[in-house]
Amino acid sequence: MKLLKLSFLNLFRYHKRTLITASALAYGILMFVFIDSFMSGANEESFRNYRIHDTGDGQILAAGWWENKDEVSLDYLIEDRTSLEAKLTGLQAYTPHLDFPADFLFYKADGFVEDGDLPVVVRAIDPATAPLVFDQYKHIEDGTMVRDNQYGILLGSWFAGKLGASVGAPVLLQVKTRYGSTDVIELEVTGIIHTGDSSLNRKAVYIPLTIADEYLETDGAVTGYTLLGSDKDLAALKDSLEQGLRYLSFFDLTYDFQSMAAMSDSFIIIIIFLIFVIASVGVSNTMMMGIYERRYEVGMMRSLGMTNREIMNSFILEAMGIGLIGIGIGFALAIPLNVFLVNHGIDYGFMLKDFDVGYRTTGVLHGKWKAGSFLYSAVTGLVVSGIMAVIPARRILTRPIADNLRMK
Amino acid sequence: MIRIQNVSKTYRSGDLAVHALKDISLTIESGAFLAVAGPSGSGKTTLLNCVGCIDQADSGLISIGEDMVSEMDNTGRTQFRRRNLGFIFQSYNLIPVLTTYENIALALQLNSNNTKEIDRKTREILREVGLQGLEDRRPSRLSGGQQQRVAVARALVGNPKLILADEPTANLDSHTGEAILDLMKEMNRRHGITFIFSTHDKMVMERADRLIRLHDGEIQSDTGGKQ
Ligand SMILES: Nc1ncnc2c1ncn2[C@@H]1O[C@H](COP(=O)(O)OP(=O)(O)OP(=O)(O)O)[C@@H](O)[C@H]1O
Ligand SMILES: [Mg+2]
Repeated sequence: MKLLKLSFLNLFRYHKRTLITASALAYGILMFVFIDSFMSGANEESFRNYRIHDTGDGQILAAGWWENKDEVSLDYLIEDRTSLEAKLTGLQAYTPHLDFPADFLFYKADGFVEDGDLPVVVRAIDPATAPLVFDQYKHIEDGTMVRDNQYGILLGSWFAGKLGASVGAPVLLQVKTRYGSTDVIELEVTGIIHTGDSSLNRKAVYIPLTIADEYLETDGAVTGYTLLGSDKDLAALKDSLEQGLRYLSFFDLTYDFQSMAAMSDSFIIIIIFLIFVIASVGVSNTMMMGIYERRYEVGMMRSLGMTNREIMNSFILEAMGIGLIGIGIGFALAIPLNVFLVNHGIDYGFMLKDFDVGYRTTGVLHGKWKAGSFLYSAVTGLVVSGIMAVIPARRILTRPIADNLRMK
Repeated sequence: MIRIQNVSKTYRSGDLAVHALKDISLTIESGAFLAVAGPSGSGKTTLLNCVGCIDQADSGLISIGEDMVSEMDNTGRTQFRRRNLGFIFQSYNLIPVLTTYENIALALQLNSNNTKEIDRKTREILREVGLQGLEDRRPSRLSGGQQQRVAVARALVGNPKLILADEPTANLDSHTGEAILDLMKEMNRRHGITFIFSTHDKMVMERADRLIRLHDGEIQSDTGGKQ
């Protein structure tokens, strides 16, 4: 009791120093909570965007396509769609797609920013079933959905914006057919899609499957199907697939993103670790000064018969007091910040427009409440602070009492 | 009775050896009011520290009452100081964040949890040393003489066998120093507590019942035989 009181009083003896050090710690905690909230929000939203815009709950792809997905090749196609679709009827929803590379040609005379061509990956979609599986077709901000057999094209908003494309503008897609000859599809922009998915806004180019089929000479073959359904149904489906087909779960399809997210997580852990190291150096320094200034006083307390253990404990308590103040300030700042992050979010879409950071998030990113990050930073802050008192205190307490007393 | 037998203490720093105490032997009666004088570096502080169980002699024996303190280990000496000794320091050495009352009570709290008893003893000693009305002041708002009074009270309050005071008046003007010494003397008379104090001050030496002069770690003179 007497120790606790003494530690508490000593804490305010150097109130300026205490406050500065506690602020450093508070900053560490604030950063931790902020980054953790932000990253969890980004992760969760990215996964959500993958699911609703790209992967569904799983996909069936032509064998070989996934392994060579960077080629976007027409060499791996599902030919027999009828027998496969017969197996899919039990699912909640499914839609076919055909992915292929093309040159996107555009002209200044048509309202584009310049004459030019751009390599793109086009996804041919089934206008009837695609909206049942994917969410982006609800977000055609300008124009309308493409129809079967229509020479129409849908573009992502940032893609369109960069080129100056607007609804009604004519576009040429130069493609290679399945057999290697070149052809050009003349299309008209029917709609522009704007979603909360940076990757989609930047890259999406959709045309009707019927048109693609005709020009690429694919004879009804497709790259794959995107599926929505229960885990049980999907598992059963996976087991019933024939040779030449491959089922990929949501987990398989987002594997690259997961490893990227894990990598940036560990990077962030390093940053947070560094912040805490800096904060604890601050605590250590403050305690060092405070304890050295008091060595004569320590000598007196030891003379009176206070044990080294008692004195050590009182210093540890004092340092933990600094930690506690830091945690208090940190939380006082972090809680309102996180309320803002969660409810309002930060609009950083402008940053993602021109370069790909790997996260599929909206312009407005929302944080998440994570009790763990509060708890973890508080415990770490408290423990680290306490430990920081041990070294300087021990240095004084291992000296003979006479030495403590000798100089003032 | 305090017995000091053939006590030596040498400080070494590198190749240099300082013989701070050289084979000191001395017997101090209970209730003594003993001054240790001598030039700077003569070993006064070292002697007081060895008797006060703050420092350990290299050789020789020290006993206080029945206790052979020179044979105790660190923990034993800490316990012994807590129960049996009081200290007064040259620069008062109060805890600045505690009030007069709390500084004095702290010495008792080390040995007891009985708040009533602690309060009673603290108030009693406050009255005895004439600090009524200053209970709630912090040291920074007390004069040097008042602070040293608090220090005397802190040393006395646990009713120790022996109080050691290393140059208790050195930071005080002569008038205040005299008052502190009178207070110590009075407590010595009234409670029979043994006092050993070091000093450079003639006035202080004259008030001692017994005066030992040290020189280069040896006893040069001792008025103890004459009384
Ligand atoms: N820790 C130490 N290391 C080295 N030498 C020391 C140490 N403590 C004391 N000494 C030396 O021992 C001798 C005796 O010192 P001591 O402090 O006992 O003298 P003193 O009589 O109290 O002097 P003063 O009147 O200046 O207080 C001195 O020469 C001093 O330099
Ligand atoms: Mg001295």
